[in-house]
Amino acid sequence: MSDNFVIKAEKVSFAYDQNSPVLREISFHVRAGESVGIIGANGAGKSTLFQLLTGLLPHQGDLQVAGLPVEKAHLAAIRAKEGFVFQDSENQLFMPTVLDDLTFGPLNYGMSPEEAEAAADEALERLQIAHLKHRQNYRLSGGEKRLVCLAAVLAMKPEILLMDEPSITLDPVHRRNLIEILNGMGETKLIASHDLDMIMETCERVMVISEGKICADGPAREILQDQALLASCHLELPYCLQQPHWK
Amino acid sequence: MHMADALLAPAVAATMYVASGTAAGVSVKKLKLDDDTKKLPVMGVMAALVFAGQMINYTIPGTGSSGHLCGGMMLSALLGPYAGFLSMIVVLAIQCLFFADGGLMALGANVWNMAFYGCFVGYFLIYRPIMKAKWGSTRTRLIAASVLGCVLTLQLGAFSVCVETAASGITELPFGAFLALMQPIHLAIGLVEGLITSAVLAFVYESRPELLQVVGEGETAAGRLSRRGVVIVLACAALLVGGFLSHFASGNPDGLEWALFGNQESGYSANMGLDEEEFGVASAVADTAGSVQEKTSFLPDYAFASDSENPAGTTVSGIVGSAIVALAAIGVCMAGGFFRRRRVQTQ
Amino acid sequence: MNPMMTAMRELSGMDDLANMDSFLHRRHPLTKLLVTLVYIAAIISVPGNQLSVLIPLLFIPAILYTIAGIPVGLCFYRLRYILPLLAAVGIWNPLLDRRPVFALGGVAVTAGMISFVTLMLKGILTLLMSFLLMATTTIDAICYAFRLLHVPEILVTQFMITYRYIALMLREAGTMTDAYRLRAPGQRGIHISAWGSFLGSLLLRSMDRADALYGSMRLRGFTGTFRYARTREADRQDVFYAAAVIAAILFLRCFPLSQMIGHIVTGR
Repeated sequence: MSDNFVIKAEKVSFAYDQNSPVLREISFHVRAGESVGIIGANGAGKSTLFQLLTGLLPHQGDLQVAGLPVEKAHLAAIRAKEGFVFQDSENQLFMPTVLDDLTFGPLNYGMSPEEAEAAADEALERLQIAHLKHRQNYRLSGGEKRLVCLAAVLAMKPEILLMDEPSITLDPVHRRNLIEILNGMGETKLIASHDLDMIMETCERVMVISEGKICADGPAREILQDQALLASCHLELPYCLQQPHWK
Repeated sequence: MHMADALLAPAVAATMYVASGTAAGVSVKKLKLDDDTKKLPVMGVMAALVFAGQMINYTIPGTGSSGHLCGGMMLSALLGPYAGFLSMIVVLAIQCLFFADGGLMALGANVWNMAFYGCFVGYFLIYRPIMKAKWGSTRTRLIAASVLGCVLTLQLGAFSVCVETAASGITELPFGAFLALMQPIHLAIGLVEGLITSAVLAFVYESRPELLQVVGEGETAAGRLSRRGVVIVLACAALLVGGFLSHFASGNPDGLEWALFGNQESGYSANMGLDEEEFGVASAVADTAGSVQEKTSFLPDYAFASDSENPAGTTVSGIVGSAIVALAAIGVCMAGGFFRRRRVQTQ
Repeated sequence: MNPMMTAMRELSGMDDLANMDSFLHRRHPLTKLLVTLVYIAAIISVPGNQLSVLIPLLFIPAILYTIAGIPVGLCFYRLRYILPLLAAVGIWNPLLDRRPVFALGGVAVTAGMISFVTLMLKGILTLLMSFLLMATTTIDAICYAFRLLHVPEILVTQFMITYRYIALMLREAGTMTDAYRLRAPGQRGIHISAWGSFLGSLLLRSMDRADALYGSMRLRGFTGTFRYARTREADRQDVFYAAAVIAAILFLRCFPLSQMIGHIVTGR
């Protein structure tokens, strides 16, 4: 294969029950190293798309990640290359301490305890949160939890990062910090968010999902300025592009 | 109903550990057969839920008081008896380790009293037969099963608490009086707990019926047989424990003393190799005891507790010595900053 | 503050203590668990009327708390579950067993009083030591000790997951309780009409959470067995610590120290 697509989706569909499909025959490709923002109204299917890409939900159609079809036989290999940061950090950090959580993935993928801890240290170092290493997960602040989730994923050295609302619940300083971290990472990134300003700063490409379909896919610069398109998908312009309306 | 360490004699605590451990071993084995890895996170989260749910106050209508949930029956209905039992063990272990509710030694007894009956007896004898029956609506049967199950299992639990305490020789209260005190209280508690459990299960049934354990359907004959085997094993364990405990209960409670530490009352403690020294002391003490008894005989009408039974605990020199030792221990505490609140260093 | 918040604070307080540093904190978790079990066994093996055997055993926690630098006041707060229970069981002894044993300032001290005090002291001492165990040992170290003791994998893993989610559940149940109380002033608890839906809705949400959690585990390669990074060998200090403390416990338990000292002081 001559192309360097890491994700190829051809007519991918998903339905919890047959009458109301969540995603309808969507097709898109993502190249290695790209940062793609996925935007859409609540319930448009953003989180579902991520669950299809990781094989947590079964799909119909042709879906390939890292050159492998997303099906049972390849799930382990695919998941080793994907890092999924959940919307709710609480669901992701299920071990008592930060270190336990960070080594969980690497150990499962066959690293020795020493290698796993080294991978954990490296990930913590990369996000500059080495001081959290021995902390209890439940005692972290929201911002810290988010970074630990990201570190837990980075410790597995993924090629593709899937992030569901990474900036939600973060204060401005933590959000800014996260944006800078994301911009410094060379991995392929798919970021689903309602925070269009963050998408503007972190993604060069944007996909708009509405009612189970991709209704726009192109450079962020064009899509995020297209007020009519955004409105038709129940979205607004990013705040920084709106006229201030003081009362 | 959490037993405390101090209420149990070592032999009783050990017996209960063996009994609960057996039931836990059977459960672990049964769960492995299922090979459903998803159970693990569900069990963890549900155990945490029960832990928090136990703290919720439910107002009992018509009274000023409030009731609580215990959780064994509920976990069995949601996870099945084996996973439910293991989840309850974890809840009880965390309560005893982190919240000093119960005790490390009493854990075996607590698991037996609160988890075993609720998860196995309640499930196999009450919940499953009623849910399999054809009468009434599922909702009615759910309520009946929960209430009956909770009442029965709490009665059994309360009974076990009485037996364990009596077997440990802790209280002077006659066994019958203790029972007469415990059972009615737990009848009321069981009723309320049953109603709370049934309310929660009915809510789950109406919103997401698939979450409740399917009873009876799709069970192969072999599966049924092996389950029956498990019940038989558990019943035998229960009988064994009952027999063992009643043996202790009927004997002299003081006879429960760890064999390891010897029996000072009867004048030998050879086990620890301390016999000469200790024996010497003990006989000297026994002599003193006699003279003290004479001196304190200005209370002639009272029958004195026989000092030959407790030579170490009740003589004047025993009292004086104890006081000195206690003061010395407190002194150590003071010197070491025992009572001072230290600044807790956190990273 | 609702009871869930109180429990949360206790949990994090325990964690703060366990993360301190001292000779005791650095000991192998298995040695600490072993010492605690031996101590509790020694305490509960003391017959109900032998107060003077029990008292020397106070030395062990007194010295260990000092070494660990743990403030004992925190521990006494935890007695609130145990002491009322022990009192309820033990209070019958002074009432029923009125055989006088000796006189103290003209008042007859009965065997029942002694066994009552003995029982309460047993409760305090056993709690002191189990509190010390948890105040000097982190949750992952305790789980490591459990694994070394061959506690079944599934129980240890569940212990960890449950511990992790207790804080979350407590917070959710606490918030729900507060929200309920704000809209139902004057009610002391949950009204019967909401008995099912209150915990039930939290239960349904938690089931969804368990689903998501399972997804997160599978994405990181979970196939049914947990793997752990941490191992720790017992060193010479650990062995020395366990041997010394256990020897001290057995000595104090078997040797009638109170008798000896009393004998020397009173000369009888």
